[in-house]
Order: sequence, then C-alpha cells, then structure tokens
Amino acid sequence: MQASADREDSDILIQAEHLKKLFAMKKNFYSRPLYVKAVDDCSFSIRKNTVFGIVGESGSGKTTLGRVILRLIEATDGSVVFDDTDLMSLSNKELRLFRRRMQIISQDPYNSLHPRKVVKKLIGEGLQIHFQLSSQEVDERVKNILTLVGLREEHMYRYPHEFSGGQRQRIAIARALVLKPEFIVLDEPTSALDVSVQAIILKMLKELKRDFSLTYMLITHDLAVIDYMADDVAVMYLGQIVELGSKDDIFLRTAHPYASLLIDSVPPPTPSEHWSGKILNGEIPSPIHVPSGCRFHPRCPQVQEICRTKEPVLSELQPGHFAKCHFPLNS
Amino acid sequence: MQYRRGDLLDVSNLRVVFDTYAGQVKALNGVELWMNHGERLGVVGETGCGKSVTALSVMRLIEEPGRITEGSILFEDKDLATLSENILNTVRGKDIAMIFQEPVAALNPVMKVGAQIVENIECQRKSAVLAQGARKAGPVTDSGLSQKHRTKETGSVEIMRDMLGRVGLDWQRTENLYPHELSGGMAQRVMIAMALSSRPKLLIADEPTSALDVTIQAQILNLLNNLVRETQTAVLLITHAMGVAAQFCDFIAVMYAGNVVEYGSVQSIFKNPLHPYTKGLLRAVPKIGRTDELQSIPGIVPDLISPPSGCRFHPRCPHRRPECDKNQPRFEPVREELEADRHHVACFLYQKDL
Repeated sequence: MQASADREDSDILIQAEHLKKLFAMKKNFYSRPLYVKAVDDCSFSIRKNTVFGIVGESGSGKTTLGRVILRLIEATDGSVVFDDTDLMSLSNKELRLFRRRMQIISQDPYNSLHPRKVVKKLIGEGLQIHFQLSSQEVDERVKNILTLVGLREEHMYRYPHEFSGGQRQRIAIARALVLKPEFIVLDEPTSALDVSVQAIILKMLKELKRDFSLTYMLITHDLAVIDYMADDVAVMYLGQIVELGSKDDIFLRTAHPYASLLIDSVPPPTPSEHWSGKILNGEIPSPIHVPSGCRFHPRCPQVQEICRTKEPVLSELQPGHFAKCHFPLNS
Repeated sequence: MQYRRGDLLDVSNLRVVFDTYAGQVKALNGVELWMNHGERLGVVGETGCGKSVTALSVMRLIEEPGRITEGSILFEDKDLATLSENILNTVRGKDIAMIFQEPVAALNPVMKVGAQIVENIECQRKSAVLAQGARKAGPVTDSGLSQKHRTKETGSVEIMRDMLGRVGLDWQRTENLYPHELSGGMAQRVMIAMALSSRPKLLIADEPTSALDVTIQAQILNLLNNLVRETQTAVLLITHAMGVAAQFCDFIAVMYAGNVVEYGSVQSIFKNPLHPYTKGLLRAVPKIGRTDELQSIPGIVPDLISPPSGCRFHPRCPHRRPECDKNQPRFEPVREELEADRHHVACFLYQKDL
C-alpha cells in the first residue's frame, strides 16, 4: 500500500494483504462458536532494510499479527508475499526451508530458551537443520555469533538459567541471527528488561540491522521504543490498523484520535515537560463483540453520529500516511 | 537520637539481610530517605536494587529468611523497626496503606470485591479502638471490644460504596464481582479504594501501574493524583518508569544495589543529576522525540551475596577513583544547592573533605 506513492515495488520485502485471523470459541460442545477477531483485515507492506513498528494496547492483536506473518499461526484469510514468494501457498516442507529467512525473537527470554539445552545446542540446532554443517563448523559459527552479540566463547556450554535477562535476550538474538535471516519479527524484545539493559539491546539490534541489512518488524507497546527504532509505524486497535505511515507521520502529524491519545498517555521522563494529562477513558472492548461502526467510537472524544453506524476505511491522507477515521485530526 | 529530617517518615541507615543457603544476601545497605506529610517520594532503580524491600520494610512486612539488622524507620513518633507487633498492627493499613503491582493477585480470589473492602474498613476500626485502648491502659485483648464495633451497623458498607464511586467505579455493578471478573485497571482501582478507605497518612504504591497499558496507567495515575491531593495523603511510589516518577513525584530517591545513591527534589535529580549511576540511568531512558543515541551503563548489577567493596557502583563507574573500592561513600547534602531541594548524594566525587 505504501508502495502506491513513489517507492518502487522492488523495495518491498513483505506485502501483507487483507490478513485475518479469527479464533473460534465455544462455550460447550454443542453451542455455535463465537469468533475472537484477533486480526481483522490488515494490509501493509514492509520495505527492505527498514524497521516496521507495530504499536497498540494489549489485546489489540499485534502479537497475533506478527505470528500470522511468519505462518506460525495459520491465517484465516489473506495473503503474505515475502520477496515474490507467496507464503500461504508453501507446503509444510517448503515452509520449513523458508523459515531460515525469517526468524522471531520473543518477549520473554526466560521462557523462549529450552532450559535443558546448553547455549551451543540452542544456537547450533538451527544450523544443523538448515546447513548440514560438521560439528567443527557449527562450533566455529556459534563462537562467532556469540562474540557478535557481546557474549564470550566460554558461555557456549552453559545453560540458560546461568544467564541474566539481558544475556538471555542476547542468546535469543544470536539464535535468530546465526541462520543469516533477512527478516526478523521482534515481539516486545525488551519489555522484560531494565532500561539500562534495554538501551544496550536496542542499540545492538540497530547495529546488527545495519551490518547484516536486516528488516525488522518490531512489535511493542512502548511508543518511545518505536520512536527510537522504527521507520514506519502501524497503530493497531482491536485487530485493525487504525493509522499507518512513517514515524514522523505518526508522531508529528498524528491523524487518528486513538493514536493521538495513546501518545499523550506516555508520561514524559522529565519533570520540566508538561504532561498534557489527556486521558483516554474506558478500556479496550472485547474482540468477540466488537463495537459497530468505527471500533473506537465508544472511547473516542470526537465521536459523531456517523461513527456509530458506518465503519471508516483506511484512507490515504498524504502519500504513505493512512488513517481509519471519518474525521482525521490535523487535516 | 539524630535530628529528625522528615516529619512523616524518616528512614535512616536501614539494613536488611536475607539468610539463604547460598549465603547472606545484603539487600539493603544503609538506606536513607525521608518525607514530610503530604509529599510524594518516588523510589526509582532497576530490578534487584532493593526498591520493594525498602517498601516492605517500612511496613515491616519482611518475612523469613529476611530480617532488619540495623537502622530506624521513624514514622511520626514511632520507630517502626522496633515497635511491637501489636502496636504495629494499629499502624498497618490504618496510617500506612499499600497497593501492589499485581492487583488481581493482591485481592482475595474467593471473596466479593465489596465484602473485601468492608472487611478492611471494619478491621481498621477495630484496630483504631485497640490503639485507643493501648494508649489508655496498656495492651488490650480482642475481648475488650464492645459489641458495637463488631457489627456492620456503623456504615462500613456506605464507606465502601463511597470509595468505589471515588475511584470511578459504579458500586452497584462492582461490589458483587469477584476479582477474576475485573480487568487489571479495575482491580487496581479496587485496591486504591481499599487502601484509601482508612484515610491513611502514607500510601505506599509498589509499581502500581507497571502491569497496565499506558492508557490505563494514565487513568490510574490521574485518579491517584486527584485522590491524594484531596486528602493530603503522602505517597511513597516505587517504580522503574522514570516518566511516572518525573510526572507524579515531588522528590526522588535513586537506588542502586541496596543503597539510596541520590536523593532530592524532582527538579534537582532530573536537571542536575550528580551520581554517575543516576546520570547513566537517565541517559538510558528512551523518550518520544529524542534524537540522540541511547547510552547504556556497562557491566551488570552486582550479586548482593558478595557485593563489591566500598561503593557498590564502583566496578561499573566511569569516574572511579582509588578510594572508591575501599570505603562506602557517605550520604551527604550537596552544598551548592537550595536547602528546599534536599539534594543528597553518596559519591566520593562530591565528598567535601576530599
């Protein structure tokens, strides 16, 4: 979609069209299923060597979207094209080979590493599956990647419990990187870490992206992290993308009232800066019984009659800047 | 006894250890902080620096294998560190209330929300009567209570409903819910209602918004702000989010590895941080609109079973001096600044006689 403006299609690494994921929920065996609309009609494209940020409250469907892109969860509908390959059409076997090119780093470094495998095994396993290397070659590559993420050779034979949270996240990064992927989904990579450790990890991720010409999809609830890392940003609400554009579009020319209130909710980390104190009232509604019309209308301060009945479309305000609102701000 | 620094709370030289099989964890190593009535003090620092242990110590809720080995916790005219458990129970919940990070876990899962708040109110009334008794005629037992104070006739239910309303919940809808039926934001509101129902003088909030979304965090902070301003309640806010501390608090205490390394007004800490750790911490915080690179603090948080000698920050400090690994720096006022800023720092770089 962003390509429609002036960018060439060859820049695009990932093109997602009308992605949908519904989870069926049954009260009991005989009842008709209700559907949780976790991801509902999301389309976007990710340019090569950029960071595509996805931000939203918990329950907005950002993690599900990240997993659907990688086909870790099968989408209910829609397509994902990864560099001319339609992911949805791949057989299981083809997909497994393809997985080398796209990796995921998940939020909790305490649960994402197998507790009974040593670091060498954790990192080297993927190498053995994808490259059929000899044991020495695996050793060599694991050593190299460990130094690259700031760990040492002697860490190779230790278990995950012997490491701190930041070190574990480094292991998870090493495990993803060792396969030389092109695309990495970062699902809340620093949410479980302290700020000083977060700063190290984010800087490292930026450097690795530059050195290995990686493309990231960064999923986070932290707008400051998005601002630091991302080139393009999608703001999600109840399974839908409500605003999409460059980082500056989102932060400086915010169009959707939800995005605007979300940004205002973040307390600035200096006392001299006045906190606007604008409050987004209410809580995110159930994704089973979504509100009619615009999904944000029950909480929207600018709500009009039409918002209750007619769902807005994600329309282009400026080249590359989209908002799903009948009355976008700053226009 | 040394002179009194804060008329509500004055914690000095507080040391807490935990005896574990691996060795003695020296969790607090001489914590210093104080506050006056109605003030808001933010305690910031990273995981494992002793923020929560400090909060629990003030309530004397440190359990085995932990114990307070040294120091005083002056709360008004009492030293909570040495007070007997009986008298302490008249302070807990009544004069000092606490809210926690995981509100749903802090509530009783098998009791309706309204009933829990009522129980709390009645409990406070009972201990108030006990406290009065204690003042007049020494220790009293439970049987010393008159029947009147045991019944619900005295309006506990009304207080509960009023409190639910003040935290923005509809009592008719909420009082008969169980905690698992509440969202995180609602549960934190219930906790606040419960904590403030006894009109405490000090509210200890241990990471009250860390488990919540930013939009809900803003709602809760706004609510807390209004409620405590109304009642002039002092707040001891434990948080790792610098933004929350900067916006909510009047004073900040920065903790590292069991010490308060820097203390002072919000303005002095954020505008003129002195301790190398505070400086590093502030440079590591990402911020919307920030264009410079993030800086990190090299090294890792020390193991508190065998903490570094001298200043506990010295292995990571960029301004290390020869004396730093020998002695613990004294916690001293910064001379050049206004007294009202109360700016104190524990670092040899600013020690007067050097």
